[in-house]
Amino acid sequence: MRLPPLTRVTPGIATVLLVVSLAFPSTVHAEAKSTGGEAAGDFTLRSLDGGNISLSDFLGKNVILVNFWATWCAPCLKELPKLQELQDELGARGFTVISISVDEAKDEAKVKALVKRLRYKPTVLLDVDTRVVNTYNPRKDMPWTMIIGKDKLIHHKKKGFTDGDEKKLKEWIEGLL
Amino acid sequence: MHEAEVVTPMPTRQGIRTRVWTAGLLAAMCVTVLAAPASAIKLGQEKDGSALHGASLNINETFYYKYNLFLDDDPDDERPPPFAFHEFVNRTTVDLRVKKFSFGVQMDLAAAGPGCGDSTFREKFAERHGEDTDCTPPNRMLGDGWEDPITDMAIFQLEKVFAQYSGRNVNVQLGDYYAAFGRGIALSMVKKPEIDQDTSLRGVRFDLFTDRADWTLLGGITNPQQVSMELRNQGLDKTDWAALAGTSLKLRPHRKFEISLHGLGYELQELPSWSAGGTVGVSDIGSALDLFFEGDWFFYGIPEDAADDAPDIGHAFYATATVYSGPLTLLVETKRYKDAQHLVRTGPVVPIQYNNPPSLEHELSVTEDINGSIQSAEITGIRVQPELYFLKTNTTLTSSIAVAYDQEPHPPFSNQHELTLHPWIGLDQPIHLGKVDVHLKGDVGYRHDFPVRRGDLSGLSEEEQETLRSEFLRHTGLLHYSLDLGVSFGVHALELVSTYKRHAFTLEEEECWTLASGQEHCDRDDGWVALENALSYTLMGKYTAALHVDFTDDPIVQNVSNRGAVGNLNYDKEWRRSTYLGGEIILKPVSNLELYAFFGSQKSGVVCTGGACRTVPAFTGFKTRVSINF
Repeated sequence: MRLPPLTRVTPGIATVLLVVSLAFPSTVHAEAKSTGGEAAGDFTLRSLDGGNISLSDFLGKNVILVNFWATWCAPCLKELPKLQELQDELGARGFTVISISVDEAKDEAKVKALVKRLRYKPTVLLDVDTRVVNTYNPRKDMPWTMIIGKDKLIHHKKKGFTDGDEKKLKEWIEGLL
Repeated sequence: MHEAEVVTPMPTRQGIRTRVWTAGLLAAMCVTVLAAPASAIKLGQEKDGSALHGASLNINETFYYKYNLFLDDDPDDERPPPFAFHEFVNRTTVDLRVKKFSFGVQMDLAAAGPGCGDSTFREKFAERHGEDTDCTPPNRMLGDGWEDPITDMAIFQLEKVFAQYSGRNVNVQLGDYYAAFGRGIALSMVKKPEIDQDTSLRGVRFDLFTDRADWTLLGGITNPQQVSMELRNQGLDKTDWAALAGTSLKLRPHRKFEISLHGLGYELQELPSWSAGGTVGVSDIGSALDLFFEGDWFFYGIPEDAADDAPDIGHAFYATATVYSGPLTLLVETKRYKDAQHLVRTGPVVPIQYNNPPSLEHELSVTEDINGSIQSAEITGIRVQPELYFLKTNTTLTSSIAVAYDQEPHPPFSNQHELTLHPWIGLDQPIHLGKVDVHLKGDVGYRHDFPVRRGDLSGLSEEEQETLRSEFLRHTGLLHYSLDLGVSFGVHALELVSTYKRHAFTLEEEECWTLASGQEHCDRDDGWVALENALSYTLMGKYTAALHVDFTDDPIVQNVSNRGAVGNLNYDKEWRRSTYLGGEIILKPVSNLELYAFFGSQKSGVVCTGGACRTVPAFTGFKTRVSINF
């Protein structure tokens, strides 16, 4: 497609973006409150332990932390033990962690070895063809986390992990329990 | 060349006004977004039962701007450096989700400047090249493939469009989607955002899930992403698509036992090809052992004018065993591939690879220069990886040894077979010292490729046989290490990441060359090193400043005078050593906004992730990226 030169195109883009940004700011929320959020759509993935698991198996019953990770992502490997600690501490109160590996199919053996080595207990699902991550986290930012309340709505989303973030996650989860 | 077709305005006063207008709009937009931090736009009422209950609209905008400077590598040659130029990429992704339905698009726009419509640039060009020389812009957009290699100063692409229904038992996707069967030996087409490589299938995918069986049916055409953040656009021919269709059936007679069958039809180089395969997996045998096996067979369509040795059949076998007991986790992988990696559709710039089989290799280290174990027409290998994890000290010790016999020649390094040995060890140790957390992660390894003179020379001409009998047997080696040291205390985090690779190969005869110090050096051992270091400081997880110092004397990734172009891929003894220094900042003031800026030099080279590689250009100058989520 033939388009006008840069000097003509850039202001057009900027105008569109400005209009979009002006049109929506009053309706957006950085961290949705427990009274609202976007609905969590269902999905079904293969579990690392065998069989299929659907999000709807937990939706409405527990507060769910869904975490996208990969074996090649160093911050993800720092985060996994912290997620296990959260589940150990808050599981009895109705909290569940679902970790979704987005490693490619060729690395599936590495996922199992890593999970076993870390003695990681929460549910691990495999999204080898990026079907689910492309819906929730299309840029495949790693790690990427969302917290779903018992009202089936997504209340919090978070990209990345640095030491100390687990405190914020705990605060968010406890606010929904 | 199509200079005459370039239609551009005269940016005199109007151009100045345009720039002011643009800058003003962008600034206003940033202020607006900063004032209204967002992650998603809620469309529906919160009252359950409403049609748009919980519906959300996610918009992501990423702007990428590069100002490319050129250094005059040789001031004595009286040739001035090329003109500086701008590059601009804008990527917009829009994702609407309503209950179990989602809809999305990705739009890219790439532009470059200055063009010959810019009177200032025209004057500079005429001053340097003379009034009679046709004006040529320093950088232009590439069109769709070779047919129309140069289009204009800007292109727009609607890269991806999809609609999806995702339910408990059914998943339906229309438009662009991704797919993988088994362990990726027959099919693996997934998005690789780490290297901005994104080839999807455009068509229909249907999945049915039950407790005992899953069924997938898919069909579509290949749709590679045209615009890359680093390379503006790829010059891919989007009209030269290839069709693919396949199905997969998984059966689970028991929760711990799964068997699957899959079949695929591919269009490779306008000829149909086929594959059929299956997997068997058993997990948690005695709570300590997992087993997996996959076998695939490939049947290639052969054109009439193909070479006599063009393969028409291929096969691949891959198996793993994972043992976990106490502190020990042991992973054993083995493979045998014969003509299993011809699932490639060649094309301009970037070929489309339909599969991505397990390589058994330490891919981050080896993919850059030694691809024998990643892409080989005939290879047999095994890898053993024991890991020990000590709960008390939170220490992980990893070791791995891979052995492979590669029967495909890889000229120019070797026309013979090769036996590869690759051991490496790694340590992962987090330490808590009061309020300070230290995390040390590193590995070191060495790979050696031993040449093995080919025994069976039948089918070759007398001349070829003689060449192979007398050819010098060249050894190649690769020493590598990586180190990641992180220290965090309170809201402060420091990280040092360093990688090093030393490639070496034996020369047939002693050669002499001049060292950087000016001294003459003679040796039979030649090679190069690549060292990359990054030191970063992050405050509150939001503000990061980093310094990069890279060095290479690799002739394959030399900087070609930093001319913003892809490196010279021909081996050249006359390379010059290069050090690259750059600084960057990354700011995330609010959750929906990320600002990135880089100033300095960046070496050209191959960026590899998970076995897939892409060449990125050398760069000197300033670049910035703004990413916003609405």
